[in-house]
Amino acid sequence: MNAWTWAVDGWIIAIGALSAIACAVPGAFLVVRRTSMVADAISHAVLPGIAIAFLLSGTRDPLFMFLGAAAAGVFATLASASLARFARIDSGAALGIVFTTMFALGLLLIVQVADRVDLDPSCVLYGAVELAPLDSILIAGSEIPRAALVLGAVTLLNIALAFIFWKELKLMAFDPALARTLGCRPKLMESIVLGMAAATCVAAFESVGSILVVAMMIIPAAAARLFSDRLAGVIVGAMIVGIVGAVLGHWVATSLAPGLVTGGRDASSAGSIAATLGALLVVCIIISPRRGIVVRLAHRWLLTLRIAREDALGLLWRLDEDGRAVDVAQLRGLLVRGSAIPNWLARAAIARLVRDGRVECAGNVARLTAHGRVEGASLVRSHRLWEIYLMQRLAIAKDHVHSTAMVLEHITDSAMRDKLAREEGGVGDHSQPLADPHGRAVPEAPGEK
Amino acid sequence: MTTADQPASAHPTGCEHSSTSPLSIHALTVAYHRRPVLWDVDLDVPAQSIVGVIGPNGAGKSTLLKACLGLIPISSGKVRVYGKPYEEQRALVGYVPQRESVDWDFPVTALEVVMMGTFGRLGWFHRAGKQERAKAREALDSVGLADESHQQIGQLSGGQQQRVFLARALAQSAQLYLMDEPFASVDAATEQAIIAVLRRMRGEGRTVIVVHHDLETAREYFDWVILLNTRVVASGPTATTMTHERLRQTYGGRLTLLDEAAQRMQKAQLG
Amino acid sequence: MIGLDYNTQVVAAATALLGGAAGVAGCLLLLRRRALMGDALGHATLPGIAAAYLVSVAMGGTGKEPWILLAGAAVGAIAGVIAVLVIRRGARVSDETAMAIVLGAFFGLGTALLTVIQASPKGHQAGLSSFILGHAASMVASDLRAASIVALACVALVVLLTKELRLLCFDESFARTIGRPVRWLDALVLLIVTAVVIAGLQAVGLILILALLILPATAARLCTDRFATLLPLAAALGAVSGVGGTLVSSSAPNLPTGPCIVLFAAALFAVALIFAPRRGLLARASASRVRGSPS
Repeated sequence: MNAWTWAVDGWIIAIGALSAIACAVPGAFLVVRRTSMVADAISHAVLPGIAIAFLLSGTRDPLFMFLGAAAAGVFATLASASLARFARIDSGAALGIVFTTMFALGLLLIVQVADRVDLDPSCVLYGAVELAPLDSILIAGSEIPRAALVLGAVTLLNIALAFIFWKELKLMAFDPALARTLGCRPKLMESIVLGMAAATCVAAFESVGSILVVAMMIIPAAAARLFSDRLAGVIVGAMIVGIVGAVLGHWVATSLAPGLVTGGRDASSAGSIAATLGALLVVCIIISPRRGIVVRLAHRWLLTLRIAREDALGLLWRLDEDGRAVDVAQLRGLLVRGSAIPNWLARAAIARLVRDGRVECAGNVARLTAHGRVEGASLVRSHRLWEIYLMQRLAIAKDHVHSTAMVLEHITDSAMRDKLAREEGGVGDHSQPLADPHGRAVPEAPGEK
Repeated sequence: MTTADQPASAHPTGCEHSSTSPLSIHALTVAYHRRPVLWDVDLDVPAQSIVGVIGPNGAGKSTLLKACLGLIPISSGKVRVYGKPYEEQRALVGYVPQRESVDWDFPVTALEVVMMGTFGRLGWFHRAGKQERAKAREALDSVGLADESHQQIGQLSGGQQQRVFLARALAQSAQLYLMDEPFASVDAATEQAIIAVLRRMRGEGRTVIVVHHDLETAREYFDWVILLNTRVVASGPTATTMTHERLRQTYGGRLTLLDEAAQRMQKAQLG
Repeated sequence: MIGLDYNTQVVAAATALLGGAAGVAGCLLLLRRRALMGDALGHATLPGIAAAYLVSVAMGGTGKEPWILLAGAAVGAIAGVIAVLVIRRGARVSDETAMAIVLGAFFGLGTALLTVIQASPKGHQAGLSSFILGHAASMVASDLRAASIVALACVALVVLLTKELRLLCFDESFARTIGRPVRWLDALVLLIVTAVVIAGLQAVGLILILALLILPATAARLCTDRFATLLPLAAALGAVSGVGGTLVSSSAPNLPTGPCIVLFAAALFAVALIFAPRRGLLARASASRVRGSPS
């Protein structure tokens, strides 16, 4: 089973990918609006809809099933919303009450009709995407699975609705209060989103199963949210993550799983796709460019190193001011104590400064180069200007300003120094050079006034 | 008389914190998401007084109380309650949170909420008994809610809910009270009732620190004020501290450079 | 229960105990505003169960030892809770989204493992899928013992810590200022819920256990405004649902017990929703008519 046959595997992947694309539009809204469990509620509530449709129509006609399921999905969202509103029940609890009750009812009904028709509740739960290619319709000479057609239609519908109501939907997603004042009819938009979610759940549950629809709808959108703050970005990103999840998940089910645990047997594709999506989300959490763990760690590491380098330059400049000379080991010792950093970090910072031509070691004495002197002066200037500012503007005690200025000096550029100098220049006595609270002169920085 | 340019004179000079002060704060800095909201706060609050914390919205008034109570982590600095860390002095400190901080639909009666004030001393597994019940009733009575004790809290008016919180604090039998906006959106009668209770507490030797934002009534209510806007602009006796110039400093110009620095620190994830 | 056969008596007693415990645990979830956590927890048990089976078989066992499967379920549920917390922080999404993610991904993993197990020759008889929809009719005396232990432990813990739990649910920050370890209390609440979910797997299954947690609790909440009454009332409603559902289910063929219990609980909820003294729909309607304006 390791080699894929495209007539089967190709369609399975296509159906998975189509579900992902169809789910992306409502999924993005649910995630941004923080009402993700609605997807869970709809997908469970579908069960009695199908059973009732069968009892009423007496056939297993997909159209009746689809209508029954969609009606049940819409009913679940409306019922839980009114329960929350009129009976003042917590919205999460109201959702849970409605969908579990409907699911229980569905189970009971399905058992009643089980002898007349093959409706398997577990099939509704996990779906059978492996069987979907077998149920196909002949269109223009080629066999196209019915699931693909249904999903394709819902995908088109969702995309069309998103295009038509784009402005309103976007406004409603991020600022419903503003949407209301602008007359965007947020209630109507909310219903459109819920309708989309219901139609998509119903179209997808047959192939990927009802609970896995939840995964398809929520996980890719949550992952895409890590990469984009814009609605369009979230939707497109969710489509991409969903498609990758479908392909990878099917591969896991048919190639990886049999090799690893199952001794040659395939795992459920739908289940594997959902689990793979979960794994993809974890990967996204780790690598996301703005909020990812890797980026944060790298950023922190670079920042720590930069601060250590700047502290070393400032230290050397101050030593120079006092006419003291130190060797590299002494410099390192002072840096370790003054900046409270580990020894290896101080070593790395000094080595980097020497390599960049900011510090030179003449004999054993560490000295600033001309370049390093300019940067050291700027840093000390920032530090002392902040000390003055903190004392005068914030009335912070003289013995406290140093530690705060130690932090602020590292985020101060020349524009900010100029502003600081202008503010403090206006306060003090102009005939004398500016001096910090400890009586030390604020160094001039080249090119700054 | 010193000029306003030397605020150090109106402000306890950093180091000499008296160990008997109900609340003394030293070099306290607090940041939310790495953005500082309180910078280097130094304070000594005098005993047996009603102290107002005054400042514009977003000045960090509630943050100051929460940081003192250990509800939010502090970046640096220390807080001492009667000379010792808060964790050792919990029993001496009572807290009145903002009214919006809890769900008033919660299934408890006014009396049950007030009895929660006795739980700190009661310890785990012990049930509240007659003694606690009597104490809670007494506290409810003293805020004028004896008749409402068995009402579910959601059925009380806003002012009554605020007084329930006050009664809970009374039931704590603390020495130092931190109250977050107890006068927010209450009717005039309730406001008078609350201030009467606060004065009675002061008469019993307790210290009350109140976050407040009405400048009109502040002069009348407080013995001592702390003017706060990210940093302490001034603190001292109300009459001499609430000058026009200091209020202008507190409510007027933002410290644009400091704001800019705070933004950059947040962006650089520094601090 | 006189006149019922022994099996039905066992099932009714076990589901009554379970319903009572679920009612109590559900109140805590409801007051903590985390009702749907029960759903994430329930779904997260599936991969734990399947993995426990695979481990048991790999180590030469039969994979049918109930305590191994339930231990696996507990591990899965706890992993699910941790995943919810980690994802909420790591992906900066709402509580609800984190729960939906966990229940989708964990259930997917469980499904994948389950299909593999069922394809194996022995796996089909393992009956693991009965954990999804429940199979109360197969409960025996040992299950009754387990249910009573869980119910007693939950009720004992909640009774001992009523004061602390009420404080936690009502005013978390006040609880912290008087030195209560809020995190540990929170973990305890989730642990109690986990125990109830695990104990309920066999009776109602991992999907419907949510109903048993929140239906009696919400119904009781509609009927009373007092914490002291809420917990016993929810427990009673849960227990009545257990017995009632079991009796209904045994009254006719083709009525599975789990859904019957849930629908019985839903019926009790509907009665409370309409007739509750102050919060019921009728009481509200008449109150707003007296005032002359709809509120």
